[in-house]
Amino acid sequence: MAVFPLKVITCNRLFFEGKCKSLVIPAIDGEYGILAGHEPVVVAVQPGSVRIEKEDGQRIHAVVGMGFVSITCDEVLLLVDTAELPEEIDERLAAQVVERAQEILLQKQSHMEHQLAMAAMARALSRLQGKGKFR
Amino acid sequence: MANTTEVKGRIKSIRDTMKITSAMYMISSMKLRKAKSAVARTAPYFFTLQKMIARMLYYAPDVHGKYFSPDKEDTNTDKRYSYLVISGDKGLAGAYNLNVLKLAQRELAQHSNANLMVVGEVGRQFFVSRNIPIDYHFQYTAESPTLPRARSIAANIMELFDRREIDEVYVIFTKMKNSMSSEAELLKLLPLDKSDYIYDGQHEDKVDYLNYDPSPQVVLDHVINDALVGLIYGTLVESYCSEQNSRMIAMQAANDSAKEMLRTLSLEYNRIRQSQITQELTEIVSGYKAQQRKRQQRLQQRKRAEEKIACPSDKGKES
Repeated sequence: MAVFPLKVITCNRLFFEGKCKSLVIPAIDGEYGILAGHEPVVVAVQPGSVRIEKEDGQRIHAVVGMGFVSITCDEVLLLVDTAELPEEIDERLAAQVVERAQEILLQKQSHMEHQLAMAAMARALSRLQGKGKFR
Repeated sequence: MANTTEVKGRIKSIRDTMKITSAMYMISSMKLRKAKSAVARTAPYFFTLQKMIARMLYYAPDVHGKYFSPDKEDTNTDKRYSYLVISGDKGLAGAYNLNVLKLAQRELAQHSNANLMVVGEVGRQFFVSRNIPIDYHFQYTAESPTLPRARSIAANIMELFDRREIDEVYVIFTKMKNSMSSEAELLKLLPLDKSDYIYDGQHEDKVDYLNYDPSPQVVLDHVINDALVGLIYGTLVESYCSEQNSRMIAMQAANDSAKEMLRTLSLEYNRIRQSQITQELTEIVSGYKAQQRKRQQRLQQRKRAEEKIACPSDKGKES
């Protein structure tokens, strides 16, 4: 099976760099699979879980935040604000964030606070989901 | 001439102050190093993001997001300006705060209806004391800038921009020119200028088109927020680094002048002590001399008296 070079950059580290066979990302309207030889395209990425199949068949599951993936002829670049392995996720913290976001949403705050709370909740929920799925 | 205890007291107080300034110097240098390593960790992300935005604009030049300034000259003169002023929390950093605030004041004087956002305690105090209303003060401090902070500032700005309450957003921050000097600067945040994003890597792509899923507009709007966060975070960190740097330089200068003061003071102290010793010695010597003279006089007197007594008895014996 053909492989392609992948780079996953988050805002505080280089999460992954290397050859892989396939990549599945959460796009706006569902999951988006990428294999070697994909056409050049830029896809928006939503908070959710990412699956990477490495050259040696090993699978990496990760939970990512907002961002996009850019596919060119010679490499695939996944640029997201956060990316975490399931074991790095603090379940309790994520649960707290969800709870707090729910409280904020109940209080009918300003539009901005609503947006911020929604975004925080989406991130936390995707973390919790990722943690539960791949344990 | 002052006495020794007075000079001693001054030397002690200068020494104590120097302890504080040298401690502040070390703290600043440590904070600077920490901030710099944080920048180094986030740089690849924001650098790539900028490049990617440039690339998207290159392949889809007809995108007209609301976050980009219009291509043709804008004739609207009645724009609402907004300024994000990044100052420090504390003084004792040379002219760091002053430079930023002076630039801010100059800009505000030009645009009377400007919207003002302030980061940092010194900036807040400055505008409050001059009765300049602050539209938004970020409660947290300028100390140790983090991404969540940049995110919430960006969210605030986006919110105002989306509601069309402001038309142009500028950030006033301190740019580090090199490790020795920094300068207050004005940077346009929104709307983004397409000319700032020039893509020069099209030969690497080996294609002449780029697809978007779902559409270029959506993808761009999706990443613009992050790009803004990156820009704000960059300015926050840069300001923070320059603040620590100016404080380091200020504290270094304070240390140097304290050392100089200590040198002259200890010289003065030694002189006073020496002159006191000399004076005491002179007093002792002159006292001793005076005593000696007196004793000699007394001795001579006694001798003369003894001679007087002796002479008549001699005469008597002889007679």
